Amino acid sequence: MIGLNAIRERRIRPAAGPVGALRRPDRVALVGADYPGLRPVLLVAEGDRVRAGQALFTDRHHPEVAFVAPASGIVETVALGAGRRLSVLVVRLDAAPERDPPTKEVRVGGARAALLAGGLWPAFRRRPYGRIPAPDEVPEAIFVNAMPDRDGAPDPQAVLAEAGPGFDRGLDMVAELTGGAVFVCQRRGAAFATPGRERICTVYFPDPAAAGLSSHHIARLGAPAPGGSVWTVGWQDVVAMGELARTGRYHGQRVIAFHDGRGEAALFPTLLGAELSDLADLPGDAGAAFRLVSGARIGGREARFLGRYDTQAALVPVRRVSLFDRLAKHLAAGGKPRPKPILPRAALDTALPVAIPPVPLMRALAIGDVEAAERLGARGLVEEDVARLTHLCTSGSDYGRLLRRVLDRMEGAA
Amino acid sequence: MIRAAFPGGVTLLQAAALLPPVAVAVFARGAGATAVLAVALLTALIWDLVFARARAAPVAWHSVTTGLILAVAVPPDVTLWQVALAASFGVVLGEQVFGGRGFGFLSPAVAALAFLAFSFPGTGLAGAEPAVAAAAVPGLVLLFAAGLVFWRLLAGFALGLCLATLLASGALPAPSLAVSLCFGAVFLLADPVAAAATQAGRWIHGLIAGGLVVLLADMGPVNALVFAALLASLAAPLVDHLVIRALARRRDGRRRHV
Repeated sequence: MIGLNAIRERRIRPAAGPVGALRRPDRVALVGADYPGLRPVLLVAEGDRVRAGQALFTDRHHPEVAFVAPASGIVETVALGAGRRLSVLVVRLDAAPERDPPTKEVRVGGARAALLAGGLWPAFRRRPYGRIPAPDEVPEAIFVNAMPDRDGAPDPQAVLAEAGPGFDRGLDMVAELTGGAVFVCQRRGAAFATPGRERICTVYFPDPAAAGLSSHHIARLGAPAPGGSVWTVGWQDVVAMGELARTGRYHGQRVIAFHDGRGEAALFPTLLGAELSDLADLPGDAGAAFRLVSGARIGGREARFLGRYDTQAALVPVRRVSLFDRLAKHLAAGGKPRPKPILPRAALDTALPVAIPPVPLMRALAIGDVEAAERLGARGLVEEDVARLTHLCTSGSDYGRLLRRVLDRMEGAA
Repeated sequence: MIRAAFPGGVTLLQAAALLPPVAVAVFARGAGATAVLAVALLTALIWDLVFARARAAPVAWHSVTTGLILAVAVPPDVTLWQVALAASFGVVLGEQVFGGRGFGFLSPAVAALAFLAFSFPGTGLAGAEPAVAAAAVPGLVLLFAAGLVFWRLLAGFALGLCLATLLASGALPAPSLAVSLCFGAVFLLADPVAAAATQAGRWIHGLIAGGLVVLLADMGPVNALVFAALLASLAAPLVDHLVIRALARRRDGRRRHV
């Protein structure tokens, strides 16, 4: 990412290839980085045997919100970080998946309790601030993101056909949580939701990269009133909710697109929090020259485990430093690093999913100017929205981190 | 699409874009222009080094582009100490006092040229020759491909120029005027750092500059453009502020669910 790259900013098409067989990792993990600020109350200890869907910990502030095991196995590691925040909780899976006895169906009207106890509550995130909502919160509307949300993400069109009534049942669960509308945001084509049902609206969005992000949908269809909130949820979680409603079982599988840099992405189901090295054929001796990334090519993070909200992963070759890079770096070298400038350019103008002028936003975030960020509309953004700015900007700042800092201060003042 | 992910990359691109006009200017004007080039480059680089040393920071080398622009826009008959003074003013007060390239809101070359034209009356700035204008075109293409000039700003400038000339004289501007403004529009007016940061703001920024060029046309085309660019870039933060307020108001007005 350093230097003068004659890179064509290629759009990667959504992964629409045939869905492969389930790839079962040896380990799965719940990673603290997915739940910023979460302080867990642990319900299990290292060495405990857990079933799929069994609660591993709850949120200290909201004990009703359970975080559950994606599959059955033995708790291998529990690591807490600074301030007793969750660092990582690893479960070593059983060799053969254990079939849980089916429990009973979720009754109509019992969606909220079922989702809280069933481990699917963390699938929702509220705007503003992008956090898991409080158990008793009632949002103005819920936005289901049924689009390939980033470059190269799985195309729901290729996957949802098999989900059948599961998606509709999931939408019923979602609709119980709000008095307002449930927007199913998708690309052109057949509607995923059976039409004609009350409060469930299918909204079509065009293709460009930024249109896949929920912030774009919210900005188009109406941001929450001051003091109110809207929620977002991914389409695969809605399928899992449908599964929970029909069978009472926790559905810990997600279809992900795996990019190994060679040709088309592989599309296959795996478990939430899967260990990425188990999913890829790692190149043997050249292993050192690759990194495993959870998330999109732009904005993903180097990780050992698949992130809770990520629908793609990649094996990224560590790029050789080109002559141009070295020359450019040499020109700027000598002396201690200091903040690098934000140089405006045209590519930034299309980098945000909402109509916020990017350069003023970057300046406001870089200096932590909460007031200016607020005026620009940063309250409605989350980290994924500014990932492209981080990718494009000359300053090398991580705007996701800067945005979170500003959001934390807005949240504190609210 | 060319992507420079590093400030040094932007400097390299802009310097590359400037090479043809500089070569044409030096070749056409002879020894005087070579001396101006040497003095402008040297002065600019010395200030870069001085400030880098004072801040214990890496040298950014960005003032190379300032030196190159001055080599084209300063006529060869200007006394060399005046060139050095103007370059110092531009680099120090137009750029380095704010923290260097990308932290200020002025183009250092514009500041230097404005200083030169203002302090030494009778200095008719150069860079209006058709050969220089032609040599600026490859640079424009390169900068456009890299996203380092904004088409809205240049379109606004052309529009402002046409509208103001129509109002003033009832005719469209002469092609010769357009040619003489070509170099300045690309390298002085369209500096991304000095430009407005919002899309609507860039239109307005261009319109203001275009109108001002017509208003100041008696000074000679390049002088008029330098002052127009200076005033327009001073107005740019205000324009941005107003645009952002209008955007915020529109956003608040749309706050409802369908």
